[in-house]
Amino acid sequence: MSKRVCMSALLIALACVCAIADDRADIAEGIRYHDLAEASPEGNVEKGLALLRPLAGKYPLAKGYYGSLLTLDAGRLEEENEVIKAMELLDEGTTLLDEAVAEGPEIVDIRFLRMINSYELSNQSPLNRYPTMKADIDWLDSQRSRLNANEIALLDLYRGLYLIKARRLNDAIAAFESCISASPDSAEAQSARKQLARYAE
Amino acid sequence: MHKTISSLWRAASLNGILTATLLLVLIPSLSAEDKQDIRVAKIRIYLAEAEFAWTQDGIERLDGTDVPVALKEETVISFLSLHPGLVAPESEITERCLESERRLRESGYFYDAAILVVPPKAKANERTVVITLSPGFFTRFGGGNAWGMFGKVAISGERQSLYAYAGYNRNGISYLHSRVGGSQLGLGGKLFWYGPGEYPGSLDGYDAENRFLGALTALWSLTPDACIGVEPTVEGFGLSSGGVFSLQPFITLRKYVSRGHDSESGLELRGFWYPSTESVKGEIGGYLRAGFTARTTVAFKGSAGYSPTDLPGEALFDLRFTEDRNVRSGYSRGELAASDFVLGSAEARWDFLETRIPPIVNLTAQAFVFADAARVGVDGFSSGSAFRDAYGLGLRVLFDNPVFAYFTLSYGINHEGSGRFIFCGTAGY
Repeated sequence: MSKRVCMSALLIALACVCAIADDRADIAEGIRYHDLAEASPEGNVEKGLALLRPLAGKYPLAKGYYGSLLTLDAGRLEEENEVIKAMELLDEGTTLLDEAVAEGPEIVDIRFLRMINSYELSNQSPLNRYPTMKADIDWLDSQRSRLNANEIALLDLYRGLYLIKARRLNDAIAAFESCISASPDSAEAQSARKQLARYAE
Repeated sequence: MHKTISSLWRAASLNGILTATLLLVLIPSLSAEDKQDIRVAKIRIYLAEAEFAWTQDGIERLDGTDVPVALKEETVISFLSLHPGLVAPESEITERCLESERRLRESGYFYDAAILVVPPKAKANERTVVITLSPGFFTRFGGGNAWGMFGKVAISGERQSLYAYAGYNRNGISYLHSRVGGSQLGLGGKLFWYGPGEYPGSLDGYDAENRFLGALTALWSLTPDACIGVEPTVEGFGLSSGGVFSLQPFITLRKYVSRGHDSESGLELRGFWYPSTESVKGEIGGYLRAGFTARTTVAFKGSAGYSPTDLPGEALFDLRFTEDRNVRSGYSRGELAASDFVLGSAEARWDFLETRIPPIVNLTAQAFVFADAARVGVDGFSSGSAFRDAYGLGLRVLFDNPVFAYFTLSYGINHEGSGRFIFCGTAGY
């Protein structure tokens, strides 16, 4: 009897592990489509959304990327002049990102996503998400020792962009220089160089 | 011990004297440096993906593409209080940058604007200014008590706007191009039909239904905040009336106040000449809005009107229906129609709610208390005048960027206890 119970428990545990492994694989695949959608939304947004939609209620990471994909889709719709629908998606995506951070405040990926999203939104819409962006920059800065070189470059690029908005040009220039030295060959370093050229005499 | 304290005191005193001497030497040199004139050598403009360099030789696109941009570069320039070649103390240039940034933001033509002065490296007395802009939302909505408005700004990327009005008591169209061909000349016009319903405006009481108003505008912008112009206007014309023609020269000025939160002041002078009756009148109005905090503001407005000649009834100053220049209590139109007047108004405003209506509409709810006091004369002050007053409270619902629709509801009573509700489409003076 006890052997049967043990066997059943083992099978259930195995099924759970398999399900979690499946979920993880789907999340990883969804994130891959998210990253592809940043460069080319067509097709990749739909594939990413399809993979992440069922998992958004279970995992903050999936919810964060799902929200971010919605904001990418909003950008595509705006270009097609579907402004109202784009704004609805923007609102939904941003709300999901906020929820994901609230549910998983220690997840670095979602913090990065929200930091970037907040900057783009503040820059390209009447919404002011700079305070949210600042909160994420401060939190990520406090985790600097955990971040790899590319992540540090990404953080410093957006820290510089935030400091420009805060009218602290010298600090912003230092942040862009820090971005370049953290990961000189990255796309972030390239953007930082453009910013430095912009504010050169 | 005492000796130690004494020597420390002496050292401290000596230190203090040295510090004071240094400060006396340094302060004049610091302020002299601050007052030293510098020159704006170049202005770089980043407008979405486009990059422009503006020097004394002209403006040039540098991003190497011809991707269309939502706004023309001359539209951006028209909002600025600085230009290449400007020579001024550094503090004044910084002030002008802040002022221009605020003007760009408040224009509604941009979602975001940042203007920064690049610290010098090679030439100590020259500066590069960097302007970064994101084009905004160019559709406008609005309305009044029984009508709605829909409009577009930045038509063809220029400072060109077209608004259409429709509803129960106001229908029409207005158009203004405030920088024709990139120059300082502005041209525009408007045509309204106050019908089919009764219009609670200055035409009311004069058989207002189915009357028209038409006006042309020609103006010249002296600075981004000052212009002079003239408006030939025909008011109250229709099938049964030719209306009243007037020529209205005007001057408007605005000044941002750097103290407080989004404080500003303004002044408008307007003259009226009625050739058919050979009468004239003039009006001056000024306001000051002082933001103590982001949510608390006090605002004052003073206005005065004068006519040295007899005015026809339709041409009397109207202190009952004119938005933002009225006595907001229960007087009749006759009691608030004047050939001469002085009016003072004050409001204390509190933004008690700032929220967002999904997906992206920003809403501010503002409560305010007000007091208006006026002296009105019908045949000049010399033949006697009457005191008019109003005290009350109100509520404003302000839909700012990207909607730009403003509504005000107020109730005020006078010292005789007579009250009046007013609903109008304004954000106040």
